[in-house]
Amino acid sequence: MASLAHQMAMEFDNVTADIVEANEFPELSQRYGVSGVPKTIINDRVEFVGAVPEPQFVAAIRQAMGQGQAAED
Amino acid sequence: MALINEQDRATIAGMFETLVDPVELVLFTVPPSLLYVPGREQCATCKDVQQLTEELVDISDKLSLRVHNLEQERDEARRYEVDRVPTLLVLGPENGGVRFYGAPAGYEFSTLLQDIQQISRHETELAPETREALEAIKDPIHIQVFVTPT
Repeated sequence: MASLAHQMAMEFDNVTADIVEANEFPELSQRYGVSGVPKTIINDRVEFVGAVPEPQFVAAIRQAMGQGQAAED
Repeated sequence: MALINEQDRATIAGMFETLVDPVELVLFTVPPSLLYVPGREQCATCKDVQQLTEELVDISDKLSLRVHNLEQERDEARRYEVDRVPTLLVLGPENGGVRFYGAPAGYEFSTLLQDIQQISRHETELAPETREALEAIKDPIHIQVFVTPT
C-alpha cells in the first residue's frame, strides 16, 4: 500500500502520500485507531486495513472524494 | 559502524546505475538531547535516519541530502508543511508529494529505494485504469499509510 500510495503521489500533483511508522507516532496512531498495519487513510474520511488490490485502493479514493466528482463537505 | 553493509551497498549501487534525473532527500530532525524537556520534540530515530540517508546519497552522485533542524528552521518546515520528526521527503525535479514519517526501516527501506528509482526515472507501475481514475479527480487527495517495520 505504501509504495502504491507513493506512486500515485509521484504522478499526480494533487496527491500527497505519507508513510507513517506507527510505533514512532503513538498519538497519531491512536487518533486514527491503528491496531493493524498497513492501515490506509484517505482524506481522513475513508480507511481500510491490510493490503488490497490496486482497483480496490482506487475505489476507496473515489469513495473518499464522493465517487471521484468534486465533492465539497 | 555503517548501517548499510558492503554487500547491500553494492546491490544498491547496481540499482542506482540507471538513475536518470537527480533526486534530493530532505530530512527534518532535531538534535539529540540528554535532557527531557516537556514540550520539546524527542526523536529516537533521527540520528539513525540521518546516518542512513547520508550513506545512501553517498552511493550515487545523482542523489543529494539536505538536513534541516525542525526547531530552528521554521521557514523550511513551513515550506514543506513538516511538523514532526523525523520526516523524510523524496524530491524529484517536479515532485514533492512523497514522504516518510519515522525511520524508513525494514520493508520501508525497499520502498525508499523504489521511490528514488521511480522518481529519478519518471516511471511508476500504476495501472492505466488507476491513472484514468485519478486524472478525473482534481481535489487534493491525502493518503496516509501506517506501517510498522518488519
